[in-house]
Amino acid sequence: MRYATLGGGRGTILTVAVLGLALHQVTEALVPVFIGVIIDQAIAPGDPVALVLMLLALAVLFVVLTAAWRLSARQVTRVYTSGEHDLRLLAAGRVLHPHGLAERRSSGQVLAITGTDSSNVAGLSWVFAEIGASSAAVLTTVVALTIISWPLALLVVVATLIQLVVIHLLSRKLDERAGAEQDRAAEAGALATDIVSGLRVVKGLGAETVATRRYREASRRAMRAAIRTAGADARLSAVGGVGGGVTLALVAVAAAWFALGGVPGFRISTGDLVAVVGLAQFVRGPMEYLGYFGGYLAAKRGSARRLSALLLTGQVLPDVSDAAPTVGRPSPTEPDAPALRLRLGDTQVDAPAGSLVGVDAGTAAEEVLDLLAGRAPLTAGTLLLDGTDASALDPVVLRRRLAAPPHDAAVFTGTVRQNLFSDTLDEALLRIAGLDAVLEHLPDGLDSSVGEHGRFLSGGQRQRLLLARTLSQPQPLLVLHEPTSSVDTLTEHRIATGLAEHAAATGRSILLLTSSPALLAACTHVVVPGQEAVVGA
Amino acid sequence: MSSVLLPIASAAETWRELRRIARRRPWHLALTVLSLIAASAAGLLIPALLGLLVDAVTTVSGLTSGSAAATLPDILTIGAALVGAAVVGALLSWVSSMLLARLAQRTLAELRERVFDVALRRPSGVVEQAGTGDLVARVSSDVAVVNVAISSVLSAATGSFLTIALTLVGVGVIDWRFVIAILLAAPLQLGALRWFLRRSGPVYRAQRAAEAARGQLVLETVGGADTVAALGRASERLDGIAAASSTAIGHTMQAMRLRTTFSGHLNMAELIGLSAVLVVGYWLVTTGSVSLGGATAAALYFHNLFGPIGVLLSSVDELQNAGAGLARLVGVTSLDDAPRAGTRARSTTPSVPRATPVHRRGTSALELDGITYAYRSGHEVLHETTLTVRHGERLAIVGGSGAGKSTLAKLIAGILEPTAGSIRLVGRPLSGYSPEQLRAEVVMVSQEVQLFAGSVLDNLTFHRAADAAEEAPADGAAPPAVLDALVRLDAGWVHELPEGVHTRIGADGLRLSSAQAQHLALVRLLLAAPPIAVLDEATAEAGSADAERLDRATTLALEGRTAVVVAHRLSQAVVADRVVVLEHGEIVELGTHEELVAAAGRYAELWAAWTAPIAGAARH
Repeated sequence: MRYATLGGGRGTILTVAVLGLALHQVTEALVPVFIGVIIDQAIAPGDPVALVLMLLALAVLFVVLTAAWRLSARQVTRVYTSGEHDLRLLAAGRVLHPHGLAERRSSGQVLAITGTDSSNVAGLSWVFAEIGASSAAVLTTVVALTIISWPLALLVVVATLIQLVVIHLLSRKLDERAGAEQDRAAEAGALATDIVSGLRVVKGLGAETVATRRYREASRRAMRAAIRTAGADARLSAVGGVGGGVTLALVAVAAAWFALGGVPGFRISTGDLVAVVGLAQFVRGPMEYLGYFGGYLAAKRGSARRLSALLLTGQVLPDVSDAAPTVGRPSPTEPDAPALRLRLGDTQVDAPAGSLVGVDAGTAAEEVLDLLAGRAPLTAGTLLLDGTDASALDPVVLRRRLAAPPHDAAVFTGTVRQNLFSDTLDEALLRIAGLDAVLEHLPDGLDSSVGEHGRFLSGGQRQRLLLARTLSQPQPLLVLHEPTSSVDTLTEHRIATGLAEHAAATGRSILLLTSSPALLAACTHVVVPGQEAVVGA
Repeated sequence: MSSVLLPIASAAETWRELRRIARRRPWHLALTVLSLIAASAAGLLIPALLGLLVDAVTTVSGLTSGSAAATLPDILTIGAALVGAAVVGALLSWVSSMLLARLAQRTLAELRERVFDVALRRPSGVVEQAGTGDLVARVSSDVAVVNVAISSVLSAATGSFLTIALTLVGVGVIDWRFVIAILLAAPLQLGALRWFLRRSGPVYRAQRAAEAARGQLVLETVGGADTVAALGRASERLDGIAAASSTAIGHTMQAMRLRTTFSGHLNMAELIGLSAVLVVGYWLVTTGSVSLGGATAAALYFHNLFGPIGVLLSSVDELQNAGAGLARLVGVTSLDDAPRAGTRARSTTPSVPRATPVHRRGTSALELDGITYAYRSGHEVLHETTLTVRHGERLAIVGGSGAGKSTLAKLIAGILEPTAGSIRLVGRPLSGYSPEQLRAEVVMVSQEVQLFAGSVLDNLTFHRAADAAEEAPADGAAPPAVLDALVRLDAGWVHELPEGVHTRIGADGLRLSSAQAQHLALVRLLLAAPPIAVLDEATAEAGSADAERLDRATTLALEGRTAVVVAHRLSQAVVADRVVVLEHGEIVELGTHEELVAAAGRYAELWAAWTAPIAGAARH
């Protein structure tokens, strides 16, 4: 919270803005005072000169009022939006942190955190600004009242304070409600995201009715929570209304009594009476705001909690101290060490430069992939890159040497070219991946839009795009997990030979986690965990 | 962002839809309006009473202090009336805002449920072209915008409007000339409002669009976090999010500048109006047509209007915002107005009995006649395809990637609607089926083995949660049907998960391997037990250690059903009764496996390629 409002030079701007808002409130407070004075000094005695002069003064007051608001509101918005922006990036950055998130979050949750929650927390700057301005307004009113008549000032302050205490006690309940409503609304939103993202599956199953019913239930829960909150809100303002009314009646009757000279020595004019009543009414707004303060904060607290929970989520991989072995550069001690050596239990996989190595790991394939990609810690076993121990290497450094995307890697909205994530496009690599045939079918070739999640492409087309993307990465070591599972047999054949030739020609090492016979047949050698290494043709 | 967005309703359509929903509770609506008026009226008593107080003081101020004491009962009576007005006003505004919140929240809930329902029932082609991000934005952030408007400004804005209207009446009672003075400010206020609305609309729209783009970027980046990391593109994606966020912020700042300028204009209008009221008061008091108390009340009335006028005019933009959100929500429901969907919706209620002689002799399970499909106009994926599937037959669809296999499967399952041509399911046009009826006939296991956030059990019984809940034993164990299906398809591994069938999977739960996810999809199919099953690459991962188990499970799950299987692995084609070979969106071969191998055409070529490496691998 502090970061969003005060961090990054926002503190200074916010202070200036608070002063501006305070000036605005003070000028607002002076409007009824001016009305009272005009009635008293110009209208009651029928003085036209006084009327003109005072209306001019009123005009000056309004100019100051407007200017103060305009400047400060813009500054607070600046603070608010830049705070929101930074929080959003902080949250997104945490999710994308190379060391992983120990507790996974659905995309819908992250969307809520980077959207509504970030803006909620950053909205705190508004709350702070309003609190500062409200305090200033209350102070001005009290001073003005004291000048007119100190007993009346005392009465206004005491009565308003009692009112505030009551409201504050009642608003606690509202805090809980506000949190519950937010949670319900977030739940309904997350459910909607989850189901809409899996629209195809829902439709394939014909589960529309059930999905609709689940959403309906969540929506009704959100609705009931919102109505309950509105109810609590309305009760609270009813209490405020009664309290304010009683205070106003007390002040008005007392001021009238003073104006009649009922209390010797404290006689006030009719204009003073108008000003006192006006001020007593005006001061309610800022004082009410100060009373609601807890409620405003509570509404933010739920969001702040979710945001900080995300930011504090543990990592999958431990941090690597700077003293750990540096980048896995070729080790001078082992000149003929393979580019990659992975030892897990009894199984050892060696991938010398220029080789296409098949690993038929069955169900363990995904685990092996996660280890190599730096998504899971290597606890039992060793990983050597060019003979250097890379088991404890920082994942960022590891990924610079080795590209191991997940099997079901994401395709992003955009064009084919954007999805290749490569600055230098090598047509030959696209041919190896079989993407050339895909491009022939697309309206704009490389610049065709692939749709959200690549939905304009078929499964096989998407897979070839992903393979072309991996091949286009600069890393010398590539790990591919079932890269042709959705590709037709003829294409798979061509891809298998192409991969072997590519490895041999460039000196890259490619590790294939697959059980496809066509791919395994093209490998320089094949490892089946639990069996002796099989050396192929 | 995709170029085609889901439809957005016009203002008139939005208004019509809202009225339609609100009219369902006429009494509630009437009561809400009445209580709002009463609450505003009670609020107006306060300045009137204060005016009386000033009068009571001024009439005696010139006299002795003895008569001051005589006026005390009058003052106290006015004080009591002030308290009474405050209490009644507070009660009335409590009741009215409760009623209003209830009415508005119910309307919103009904609307968002309808949006969700329509979006789910429409063929996915429509939604997918717009991108699910658009739909997600509508059911989440648009709903939220409307919700905020309801809970923060709706009640205040209606209250303010009524207060202004009633104040003009109240001031008119004091003297009609005060009303003219107040109305002097009106042209300025209306001009400022028009100036503001004309500029703010586009800015708000741009802001919402920028936020939607940012949301989609976040959604995709987080969903593909592993991919982003593997490609080392985290900072690039973050930069993208930062840029999208900055664009949105630029619009927000612009909107704020407009708003503050607008409020400046309003302040000027206040100054003019207030000065006019004071000048008129001076004139009327000096000419003796109005008492000082009357002039005071008029000035206080107008000062009291600053708040309501500000609230009303400045909530116009929030209401406008909410209006834009509503238009986007109602726009989705307009998809339902298509004639075809209309017949569907109507046919849902008196659902055609399932006992219709569905498997009549002579009627084919499926008849496709001249089917054409294009995701984007001009780029046909399927071209005039005609095909018949017999009852109980197992048909394999074979072909190169991008040949149109998946599209054909989706058309058969009724997930996509053909651009041209017709599909008959058990002798009846597919378009005549309600989603429920369609599901009773055809279930599709698609390429994406998406799991939903929830337990394994939730995922397995997703299609019929209600029945499953009834069957479930009271002790929270899985329903026998589910356990039985797990045993039949050899999915015992489910029980070895941390919490068995109650283990949470999906977006925020345990990550299952793709083979496991596929296995669950097959169990789901068995539980759904449709007469016709469509499998799209459901065993695409075949060849792995689980392949055999998945192949066996597939065979068991398809037993006794008509099946259309998209087969990349020709092992699925060998066991099929007939094989269809697709190429460039057209059927090039059709026949049994043996016939096609003997024909030495495209299929024979694929078959040769498929068998060759196996022979090669066997050599090792």
